Amino acid sequence: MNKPQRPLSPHLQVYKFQFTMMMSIMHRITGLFLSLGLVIFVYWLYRLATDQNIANQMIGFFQTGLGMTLLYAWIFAFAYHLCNGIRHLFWDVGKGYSIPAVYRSGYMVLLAAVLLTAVVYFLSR
Amino acid sequence: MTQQTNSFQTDTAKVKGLGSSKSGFGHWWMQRMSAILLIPCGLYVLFGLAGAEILNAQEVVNWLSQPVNAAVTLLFALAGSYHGALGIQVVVEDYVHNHAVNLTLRYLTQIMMIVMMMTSIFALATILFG
Repeated sequence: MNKPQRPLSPHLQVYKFQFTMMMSIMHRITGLFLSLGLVIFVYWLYRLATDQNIANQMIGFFQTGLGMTLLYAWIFAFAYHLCNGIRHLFWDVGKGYSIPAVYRSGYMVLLAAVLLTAVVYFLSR
Repeated sequence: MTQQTNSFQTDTAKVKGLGSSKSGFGHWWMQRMSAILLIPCGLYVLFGLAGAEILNAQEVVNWLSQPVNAAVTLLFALAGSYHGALGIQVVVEDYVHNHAVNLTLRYLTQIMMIVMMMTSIFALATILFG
């Protein structure tokens, strides 16, 4: 089969970096990252049901430095994807499309995601 | 947009003949519906586990032995697996242009979703009913 030799859109190399494009690609990256996290979460549920030693070893790993970093990366990704998902749902019903509104909701999402992560951190102390 | 006056077609009939999409709406809609379900379920599981005094396997199993906790966790795992598979499908469609690789990845995504759903049902049924 012939591969089309035309350039593919979007031409990222000709775009100036913008806050909104960062918010958009972050939604995809956090989504992929959360899919990986859910695989581990479901495996953990399976081990909770079948072999609690392995489930405890997994909890132990997520209490080490590397594990905590990963765990909070996942919690932040969850908070971000949830808040930005709500932003997308507002767009789906046709609300918040003006440029100032898009920036305002974007900053709100970032702030809410950081706050939600912080709440989880202080709750689990 | 200009209105064509020399047609007896209704507005709906005109619109139905437009666009390239044949079957995308179901995907789009289910992605939103699973997203809305995941907001309360995800927060419930997150705060349920974050609020636990000591996080060890036995404590978590005790928490999951409460039927409501088990049900919401199962709903979270099922809706999450589905929502994740729908999302990965979009990413694969957007970035993987080799048709054979594209189809293979989408097939594997769906198999993975089914395996994850079966595993979470088995796990929570085992915890609840021994």
